[in-house]
Amino acid sequence: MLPANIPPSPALRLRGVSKAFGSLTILDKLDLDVAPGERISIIGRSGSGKTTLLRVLMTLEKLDAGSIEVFGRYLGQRPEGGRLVPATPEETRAVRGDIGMVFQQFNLFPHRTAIENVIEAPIHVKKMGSKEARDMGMALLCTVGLADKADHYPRQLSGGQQQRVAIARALAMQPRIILFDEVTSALDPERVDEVLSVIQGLAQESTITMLIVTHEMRFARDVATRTIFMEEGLIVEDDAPAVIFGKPNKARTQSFLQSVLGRGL
Amino acid sequence: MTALLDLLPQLMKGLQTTLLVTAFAAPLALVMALASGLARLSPIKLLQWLAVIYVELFRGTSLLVQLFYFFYVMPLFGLSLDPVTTGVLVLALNTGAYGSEVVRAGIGSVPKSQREACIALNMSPAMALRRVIFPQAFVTMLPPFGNLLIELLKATSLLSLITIFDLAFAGNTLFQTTGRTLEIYGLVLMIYFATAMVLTLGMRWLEKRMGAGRDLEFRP
Ligand SMILES: Nc1ncnc2c1ncn2[C@@H]1O[C@H](COP(=O)(O)OP(=O)(O)O)[C@@H](O)[C@H]1O
Ligand SMILES: [Mg+2]
Repeated sequence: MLPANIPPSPALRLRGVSKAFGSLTILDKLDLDVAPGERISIIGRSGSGKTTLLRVLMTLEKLDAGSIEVFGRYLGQRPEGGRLVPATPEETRAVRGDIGMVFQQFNLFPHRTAIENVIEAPIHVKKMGSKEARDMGMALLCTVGLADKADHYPRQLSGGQQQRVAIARALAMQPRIILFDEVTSALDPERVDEVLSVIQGLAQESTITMLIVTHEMRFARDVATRTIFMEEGLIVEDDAPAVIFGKPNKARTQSFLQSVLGRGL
Repeated sequence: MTALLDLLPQLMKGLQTTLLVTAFAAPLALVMALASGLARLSPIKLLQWLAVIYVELFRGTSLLVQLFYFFYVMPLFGLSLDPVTTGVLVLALNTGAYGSEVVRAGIGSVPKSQREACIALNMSPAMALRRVIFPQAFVTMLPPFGNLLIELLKATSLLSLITIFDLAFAGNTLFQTTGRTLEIYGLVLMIYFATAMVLTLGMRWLEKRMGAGRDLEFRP
């Protein structure tokens, strides 16, 4: 038993996270703490660095400076002699396993069926038995409403269906943190709700930590326990969704919401 | 007509050698292409360099000179192989060098987002290559590999110049003994063409089979 006075390590702790492409600063010394089970919606104009933030968390981009801790373990770095040095690929993978990601463009494996997409990593990365993986995979496809499409290839599925397979695929690795990067932006308007409701369901039924970048403002308000507004690589405002969408404190947040919402949600 | 049939046994004997050499050289070339193509993408600098040297050496010199070099010069360094082995080896190395580029381009044709999906599923780079990148790349490699196979088949005709009795050699011999230019070279041409056709059809079939999930109709 842990003594009660030690606080549990945060799901994420970012300190001074910086990233530039050439002379363009994308993330500007970002600090962020995320408690386990929090669901954070991240909003902001296109180009404000939202995708880049998720990408550094997924180790798809290297940090220029700063550190990321995932449940108390450094991601991509290792403390050595009072400094942080680059971690080995194995060390990085050990920590990265806590994080999963769903992409705007789905990025399913086109040469594998829906169920194969879902069970590929559990079998080959986690060394799960194929029967066990298949059962779990079918259960996940069931959750996202696609049990009948298990043997379809991605090309045979609509965008909304592909994205739901991608969500099942990410969940199959049982991450403790899941990142959603504008997962409905590439969809036909009539396909958006089926994906959002899957994420809503997940929010209701699990305690998984979520970071959700989205342009669907109503969804950003309803799904989240906390909302972050980003601009030019900075977190401008970080508060409860009710505050951000009701009475934001910063003029910049207000002006952004006015420009995207017009008359309201 | 009977005159034509008289020519066939000799030509068939030559064709046999042509097919044999192709059959041995092609898989060896594939291995060389894969090994050197992947080596060029490896993070290990030494492997990259070895692959570059191999590819540029064999692409930058003519096949005929390579054959002569291996057949006439190598024995001076103590490496003497029989003509057919030399032929198979040189053709495989030469074709493999071109195939190396095919492998590199094929791997490069798989979108970066596929690799990123693998990272998000916590795969190692090697596993991503083996399970996700290569299977997709291989499908795109098949048509250029088919072209190289036909090139290889045709290139075997140069083996007659290092004393191998292949189809071209058989044709030449018959021509010298009978002087019947039209029938002999007409037949040789047709046999090469028919063989190439069979190989092309075989590759098409393979492309179809390997293309699972790719060319399927979009039906939501
Ligand atoms: N690989 C890259 N190379 C150069 N610039 C990039 C790269 N990725 C993103 N950017 C730039 O970084 C800025 C922020 O991008 P992004 O994080 O995608 O913003 P958002 O997701 O908020 O729209 C954009 O101006 C974009 O053009
Ligand atoms: Mg973005």
